[in-house]
Amino acid sequence: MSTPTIYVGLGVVLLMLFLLVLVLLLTRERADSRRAPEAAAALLSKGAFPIHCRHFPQVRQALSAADQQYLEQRASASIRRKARRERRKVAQQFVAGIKEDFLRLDRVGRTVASLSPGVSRKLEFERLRLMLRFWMLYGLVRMQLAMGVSVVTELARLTELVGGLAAQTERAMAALEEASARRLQSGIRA
Amino acid sequence: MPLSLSTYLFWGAGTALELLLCALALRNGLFRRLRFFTLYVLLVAIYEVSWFGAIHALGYKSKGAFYFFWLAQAILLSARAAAIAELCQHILRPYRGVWALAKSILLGIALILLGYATIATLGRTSWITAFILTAGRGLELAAAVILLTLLFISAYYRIRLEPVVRLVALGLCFFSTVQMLNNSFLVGWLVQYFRLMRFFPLWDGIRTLSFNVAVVIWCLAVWRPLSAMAPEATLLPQQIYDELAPQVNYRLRMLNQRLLEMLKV
Repeated sequence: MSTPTIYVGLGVVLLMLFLLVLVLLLTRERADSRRAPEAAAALLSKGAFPIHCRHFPQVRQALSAADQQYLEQRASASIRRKARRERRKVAQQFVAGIKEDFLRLDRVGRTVASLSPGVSRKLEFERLRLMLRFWMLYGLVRMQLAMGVSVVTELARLTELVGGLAAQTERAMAALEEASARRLQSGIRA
Repeated sequence: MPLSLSTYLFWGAGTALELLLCALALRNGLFRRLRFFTLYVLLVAIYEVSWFGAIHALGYKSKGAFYFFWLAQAILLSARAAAIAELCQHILRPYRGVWALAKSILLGIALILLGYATIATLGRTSWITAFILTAGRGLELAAAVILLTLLFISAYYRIRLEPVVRLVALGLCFFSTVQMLNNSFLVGWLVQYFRLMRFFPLWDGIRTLSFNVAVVIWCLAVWRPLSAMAPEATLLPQQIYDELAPQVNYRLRMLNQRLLEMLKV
């Protein structure tokens, strides 16, 4: 490939990235006009993280092997098909919920980093890499679910991991609320 | 060579827009927020008016006009580089941790791209226009990549951008991206394969049009008086980051590990 072609290709990529950033900035600005500690505190306190992982016992019940066996023995073929579709739908929705929890956790990490006097380059790049990897894996898991593979046991382990951070985030939330209050007080004095 | 009426109209409209931008920037106090960008805008307006005088006094195709044009482009490009550096500092500096990280990334990108632009330019010493266009292409590429990285960093860390700053950054980024493509087409294909400088007016037309689009974006940015500067973000104690960040990463890492295991089932 010649150098001009590379440059033109690069230019087109840049133009596309520019449009992407434009969309990103415009949509994010509408979705959340607060970015300072107030937004971070709101983010952390919203429904007390994590949200979706808490519903795992119900989801597990809905997807349990006992239920499946019961249906195999008692239900007609059409009901069994319908039930399979429903179970798959529940699992897909739950994985989507896990994604939300993941994103919330990632956002907590980013917000805390943005409001810290110093950040570790290693940790920041690692989080970025993990986020990219998550998206790739999440897409593949969704595909696997769509093909009907059972993932109930793995879902249980996932929820434990995401849920385990509640204590740390609560501490961060308290610090953020304190920072917001300090800022508000200094604003009133000014 | 007399210029056509459409060229005059195009030019007149562009100059009027630039003068309007200058007036708005000065009236609404942009210089208090972005000094180098305001200086850049003023230089552009001065250049447009003096370029008009120069080609009438020296002639459109004269050597004097040629040197005037490219010297002015070099000055404007330097002013734009200063404005971009100022923008990076203005957006990220209040966030000390992110700024320290971003500074090294942005400087690294700038050094690599400028180094590459220098090497590419030195390889084209045979013809001055190709030399200048190659240098311009490299510099525009560096500007566009730096601005996009800056916007990505601010979006990634959810750093709030004031509307005026956001629009200034988007305008600069748009112009640099289009210019980079424009220079690539001219220096890369048209000149290299056809050796025809008759495409220069087309190149100049695209440059002027994209710049006018950027000027309209900037006019929107300074259309209203600028709001008071937002108070600086209150930073958290360092301890919070030191404790929470490794934990977050650990959970994310394990979560990915589990997803990977799920795929293996």
